[in-house]
Amino acid sequence: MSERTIMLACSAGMSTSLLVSKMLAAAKEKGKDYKIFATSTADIDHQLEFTKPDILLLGPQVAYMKDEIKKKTDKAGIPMDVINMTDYGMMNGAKVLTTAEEILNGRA
Amino acid sequence: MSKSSFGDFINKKVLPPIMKFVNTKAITALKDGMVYALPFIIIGSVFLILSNIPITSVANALKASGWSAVFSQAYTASFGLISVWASIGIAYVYVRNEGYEPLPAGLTSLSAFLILQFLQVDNPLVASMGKAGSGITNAAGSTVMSGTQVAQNIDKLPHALQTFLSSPVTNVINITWLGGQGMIAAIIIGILVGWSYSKMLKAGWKITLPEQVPANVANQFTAMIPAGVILTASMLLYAFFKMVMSTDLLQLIYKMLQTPLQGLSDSLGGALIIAFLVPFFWFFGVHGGLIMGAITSGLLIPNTFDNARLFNEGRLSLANGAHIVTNEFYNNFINLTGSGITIGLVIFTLYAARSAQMKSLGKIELVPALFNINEPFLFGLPLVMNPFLAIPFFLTPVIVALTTYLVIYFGIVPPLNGVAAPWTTPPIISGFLIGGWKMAIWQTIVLIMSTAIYFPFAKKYDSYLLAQEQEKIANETK
Repeated sequence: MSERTIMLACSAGMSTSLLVSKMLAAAKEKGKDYKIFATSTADIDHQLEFTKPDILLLGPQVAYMKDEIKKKTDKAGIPMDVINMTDYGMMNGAKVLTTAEEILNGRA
Repeated sequence: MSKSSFGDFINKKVLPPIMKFVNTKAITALKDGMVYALPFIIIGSVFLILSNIPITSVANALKASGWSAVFSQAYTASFGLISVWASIGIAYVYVRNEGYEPLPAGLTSLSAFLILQFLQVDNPLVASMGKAGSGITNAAGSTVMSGTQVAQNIDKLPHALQTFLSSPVTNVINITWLGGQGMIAAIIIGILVGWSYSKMLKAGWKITLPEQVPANVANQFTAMIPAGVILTASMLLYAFFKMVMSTDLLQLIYKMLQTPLQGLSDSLGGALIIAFLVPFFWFFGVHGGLIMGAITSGLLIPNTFDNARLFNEGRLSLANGAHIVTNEFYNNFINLTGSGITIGLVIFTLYAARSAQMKSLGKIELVPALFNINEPFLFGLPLVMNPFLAIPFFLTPVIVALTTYLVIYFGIVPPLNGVAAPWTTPPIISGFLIGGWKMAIWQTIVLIMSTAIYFPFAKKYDSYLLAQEQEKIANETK
C-alpha cells in the first residue's frame, strides 16, 4: 500500500503524465512509496470518488478551473493547488513533489 | 498602451467573461460529453480507411469480395452515430456534474432526440427519377437505367401505384440524422435535457418511495417524472412542427442553424480566427487548444463527418461539397506538434541553441512534440507572456491555416478525407491518414515553415538567455 496518493490533472492528462514519471523518479530517489498519477479534468469527480487521492495538483494551463475544482476537492476534504508554471515547464519532478509533500505535511 | 497594462487589460477584462462562458454548465457538458463520442469516431475511422483503401487494385478487390460493404457497416454504426453519442454524452455529463444518477438522463436525451425527428426515409425511387436523378446502378457501380428512363417507366403505372412507390419508407430511423447532420440538434437537446432533468430533480419532482423499497428499485422511479415530462414536451414539439410546419425540429435546426454555422467555420476567416485564438489564449497561460476545441468541435466534427461520407461514397471533392476546415484541420494542422506549431523551436533548441535553458528544454520537449504535446515549451521557455517569442507563436498557426486552406482550395492537395486520427498522432503519419500522401508532404512543408518562422526569433531569445546566464555565472564567481 502506498503511503500517499497524489493526483495530477490537466486538460487530457497527457502532459501531466510526463511530469508524473519525473515525480515518481524523484520519489524513488527519496525512498518514498507514493502513488502518483495523471488524469483529465473531466475525470476528477470519478477519481475523487474511487481512487480517493490525498492531494490534487492542477496543471497551470487549466488554472482557470481552479475555483470550480476547489469546490470538489473541498467536498472530498483534500487539499489542492496549481503547479508552479516554471516547475511545470521544466518538468521539475523533484520540486513539484516537495511542494506536494509540504502541503500534505502542513495539513497532517 | 504599454505591454503590462495591455496584459492586465486582457487578464482582468477579456479573459474572465470568456472563462465564465467556457465554464458554464452547458459548455462543460458539451466539452466533456463529446469525449464519449471520440473512441467511436476514431475506431470508425479505421473502418472508413479499410473500406476505402487508397490503392485502386486493393480497393476494387475489397469491393468485389463484399468486404468493403462490411467495413462500411462497422463505420456507419460507430462514427456514423456521432449525434447519438453526443446527445447521450452531453445530457449524461450535465446531470452527473449536478450530482444525480446520470445514465437515465442520457437515455432520456436519446429518446427525445429520436422523438423530434421523422422516423422515415425518402424512397430511393424519388432520388433516382428525372433528369437530375441518379438513375439505377448495379452492384459494380455502372448505370443500368438513367433517371429519365426511370421516370418514363414509372409514369406508365397507375397513379395510385406511382404515389405508393414514391412515398417515404416509414417506421425506420433515418441514419442521416444520427450522423453529422443531427449534430447541432443533438447538442442543443443534450444540454436542454441535462438542464431540465437536473432542475426537476432539484425541485424535488420525483416519486418518493417508502424506505423499505430497495435503493435500486427506488432509483428507477427517480427518473420517471423528469423523463416523463421531457418526453411529453418533446412529443408536443414534434406534433407542432409536423402539423403546423410540416417539418421536424431536426431539419429546422439543420437548415436554420447548422448549415450557416458550418459554413462560417469552414470559411477562410473562420480558420484564421481559430488559428489565432489558440496561441492567444495560451499567451495568457490558459489552455487555448482546449477552449477552442470545446467551442469549435460541435461545428468542425460535422464538417469532418460530411467529408467522411463523401469519401465513403467515393466522391470526395470540393465540388461535391467537401469542407476545407474540418476537425482534423484543427487537430492536425493548427495544433500540429502542439499549440503554436512549435516544432521549429524544438529544432532550434536541439541544433542551434547555446543557452543552457533552451538546450535542456529541447531535450525534454523532443519526444512530447512528436505527439503534439508542448507544455514544456509553453511553460518552460516560456511561451506564456513572453514578448520575445510572441510574434512567431501567433504568426505560425495563422500562416499555416492560411496556406493549408489555400492549397486545398486550389486543389493542389485534396480535401481532408474525414478520417479522424487521434490528436496525439505524430505529424506526417497523421497527414497520411487524414488526407493521403499529398497531405503527408504538405505536413512536412508545414514543419519546415514553422522552423523558418521561429528561427530568427528563437536566436534572439537564445542570445538574451545566454547573456543572462553568463552574467549570473560572472556574479557568482566574483
